[in-house]
Amino acid sequence: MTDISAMLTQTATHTLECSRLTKHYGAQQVLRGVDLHVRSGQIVALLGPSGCGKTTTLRLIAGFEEPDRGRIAIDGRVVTDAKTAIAVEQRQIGMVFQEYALFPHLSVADNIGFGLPGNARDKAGRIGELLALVGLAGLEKRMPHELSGGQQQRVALARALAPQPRVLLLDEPFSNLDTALRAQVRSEVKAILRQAGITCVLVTHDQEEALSLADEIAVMFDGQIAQMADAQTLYHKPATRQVAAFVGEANFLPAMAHGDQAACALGTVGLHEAATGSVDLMIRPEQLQLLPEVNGVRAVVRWQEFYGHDQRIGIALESGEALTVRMDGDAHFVVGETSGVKLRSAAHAFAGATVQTT
Amino acid sequence: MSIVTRSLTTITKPVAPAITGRGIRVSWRIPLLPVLIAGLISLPILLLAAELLTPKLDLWAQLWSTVLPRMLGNTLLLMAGVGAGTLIIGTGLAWLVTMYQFPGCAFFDRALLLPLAMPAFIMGFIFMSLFDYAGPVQTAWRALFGRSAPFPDIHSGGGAIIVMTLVLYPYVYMLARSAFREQAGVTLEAARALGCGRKRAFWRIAIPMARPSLAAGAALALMEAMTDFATVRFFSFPTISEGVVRLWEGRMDRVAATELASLLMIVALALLVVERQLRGRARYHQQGGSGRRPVRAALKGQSKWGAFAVCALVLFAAFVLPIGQLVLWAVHEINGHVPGTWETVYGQYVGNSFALAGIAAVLTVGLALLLAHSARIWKSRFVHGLTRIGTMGYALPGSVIAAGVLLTIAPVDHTLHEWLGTGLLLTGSVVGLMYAYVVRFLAVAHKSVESSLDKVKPSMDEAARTLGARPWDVLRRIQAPLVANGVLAALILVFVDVMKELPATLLLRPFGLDTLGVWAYMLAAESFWQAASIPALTIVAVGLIPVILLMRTGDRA
Ligand SMILES: Nc1ncnc2c1ncn2[C@@H]1O[C@H](COP(=O)(O)OP(=O)(O)O)[C@@H](O)[C@H]1O
Ligand SMILES: [Mg+2]
Repeated sequence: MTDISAMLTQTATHTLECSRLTKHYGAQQVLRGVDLHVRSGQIVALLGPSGCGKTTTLRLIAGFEEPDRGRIAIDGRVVTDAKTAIAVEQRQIGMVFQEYALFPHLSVADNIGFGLPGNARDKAGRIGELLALVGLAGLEKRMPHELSGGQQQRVALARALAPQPRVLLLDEPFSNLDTALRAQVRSEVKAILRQAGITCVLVTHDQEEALSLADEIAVMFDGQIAQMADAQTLYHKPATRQVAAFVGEANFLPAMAHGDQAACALGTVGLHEAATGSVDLMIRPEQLQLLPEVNGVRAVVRWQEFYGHDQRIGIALESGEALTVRMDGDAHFVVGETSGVKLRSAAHAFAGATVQTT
Repeated sequence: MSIVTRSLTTITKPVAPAITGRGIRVSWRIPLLPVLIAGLISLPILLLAAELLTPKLDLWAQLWSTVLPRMLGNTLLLMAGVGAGTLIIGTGLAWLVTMYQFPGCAFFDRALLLPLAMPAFIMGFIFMSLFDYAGPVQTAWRALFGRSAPFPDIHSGGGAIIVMTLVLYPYVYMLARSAFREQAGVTLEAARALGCGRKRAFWRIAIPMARPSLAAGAALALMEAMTDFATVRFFSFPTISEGVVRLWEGRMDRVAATELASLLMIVALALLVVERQLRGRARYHQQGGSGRRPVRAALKGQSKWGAFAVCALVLFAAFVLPIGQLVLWAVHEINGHVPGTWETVYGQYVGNSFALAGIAAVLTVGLALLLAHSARIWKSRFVHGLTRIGTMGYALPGSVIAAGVLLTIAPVDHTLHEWLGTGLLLTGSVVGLMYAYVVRFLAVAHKSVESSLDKVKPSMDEAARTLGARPWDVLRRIQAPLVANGVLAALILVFVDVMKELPATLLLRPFGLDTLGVWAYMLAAESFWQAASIPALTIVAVGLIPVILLMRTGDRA
């Protein structure tokens, strides 16, 4: 991010730029300076716990609400700043709502055609294309209440895509679907969005959804974006302890670092990046391995949760630290027994270990 | 995944036009429309209140030494009597039909709403004619028990209270019934599982829980009782409302009428505050309910027929008897028809009534839509407060509103006259009357419009906006079609209420513009019962439309 040439090329192709957005509701500060830059054609997920301000951010981008401070530009055109507040209907934003918000008095075709200009004949072609795109050809005469949840959602998507918006916003688009359906719909939607090549911001509190759908994920806590990166980076090199704990599961272990090694309760372990002094190591449960033979570091098995394909095992080190281990389902350990434990790959270090967070 | 393999050329190449619009941010905005509407509604009330702050003491002294003590006493008696009567009958009937099975209970459940169609003053003159000295009941009484057999004097507060109780109990009945239904299911079963019988559950659980609903229903009934001047006049039981009309109409003393109206307004506003507080609580209470109805216990033997008899008696007295009498009179009137009497004016009065009611309905519902729509857009407490001010007219007696409206438009008229020599442009025209109707019935329209607007979720508005619709398009393409039913219901309700309205119409109607209501009242006041039956029956027939709609939607009331 500090590379100037990278910054320049990014600005040139950014479809959506949000800078330092702040927003209060009464005395409560909901957004504390949100920066979000989305490149053309990119799918960005806004991931964070419930109530952290994701929906608010989306509503500011759409123009339903105005920020206290900050600036929003779409395709280089400022739509929100201290002097500007372009109306929602002039922003060319598409939005898919959590509850779909289909118009109950209009048929599928009329819903999709709502935002299109011209008379019925002008619209018909485009409506047909979109019906085909979302796989609902033949259902154009149906009314919204005659559709299943997944079908309603695809109508909402087609309706939002029809006027060719510059940015598509999706607020928890899968939360109203049955879990059994969700994975299926998710991959369909991903394919549709990819084919449409549209710039997307997708809000979710479900990390699996974010990781599987988005090119980049912006993790948000308490009205601020803590880190924006691709899934791999986010998982392996989280910017903060909070991100590490929210995206996947993480063990934290205090250590003394010197160069690319650190000394901790697991002995001397390798580091991703060189560090010095007192640090906190972040260790994913699958980085740990329990060994039947007890030589080296010893651990007592405290609890066990079996999931079939894998299992989570809680251990206590001799030094007292509690850690979680994730292993294949066929490994056999008994609660109360002592076994060996080792770190299988390099750990990620956070500088300045003071408090122990788990 | 097959769905994505089709050709998508148009979607992959967005060729959007430039983002247009100036979008200058305005840092302060005033919700102009709701401010205007709330101002319009509250102006008559504020001006009346101002009257009260500058009381004409000599006038009050004179009123106090003559008619005021009796009017005040009668008003309080009437309120106490009607309050108690509607509470007992309304609550009792609601309990019977929700908790017990007896012959005809499903029929009574709905039919007991029918008296809502009957304006109190029509009921009043029917009962007056039936129970008066020369009426059939007393004539039969004397024939049976001799000339000097004692009979209670019908010209009394008791008569007025009975009549009003019979037409107004449905307000309590309606709210009590839904309170019992929504709370009773689980709570009463829990109470009975703890060994509490139905009768004890009624006093210990149902009544305390439904108390806010019951009191709110009684408050609505009392508001109606306070607006009435005609029934109490038939029964020689003058109240303050009657006094306002008498001073205004009879003695042409508008100053004194206005003073008296401002006093009545205080009572009405007190009632309004009570009702609104209780309404809020009633809603809160009922949210806890499971929505499952209590299982009705089958009554046996005597009590089965007792319950039937109670329901049948109320329905007979409050609906079948008066309707039967009206029909009988009307048949006589038409058979023994003297050419050149009622048929010459009937068409004209029907036309007047329908025109007034139609215009008022459109006007009121239009304003209600604007008010509800802006409340949705602004979502501010200030606008919410304005809405509550704009919809308080239903609590005010027609005579109070008439006095307030006159206070508001008379100065405008004078100013216009001084500048343009227009004469009494507003006061003498239908404008004042329409103003009064809007003030009184905006709440009715607003409630119906608002509840149907609530069905349009905010996200639907927002979805339409992201698809390029301007606020006006949202109103036209999304909200209007979705609220069409609610708007229709609101139109019907206001239309019918205007048809039934009497005091404001009587006091503010332009010279020569008579309505069915005024006509029926005038004839009845001169004891031309038979002639009065024709306009009265017309009003009741129209009044039945919303009641039947209400009976069909039933439970949601
Ligand atoms: N219209 C509103 N008025 C007051 N507070 C609000 C409003 N909308 C959201 N909030 C508050 O702002 C915070 C962030 O809300 P939101 O953006 O909806 O969170 P998320 O979508 O991340 O769950 C929450 O604490 C919520 O209670
Ligand atoms: Mg949200």
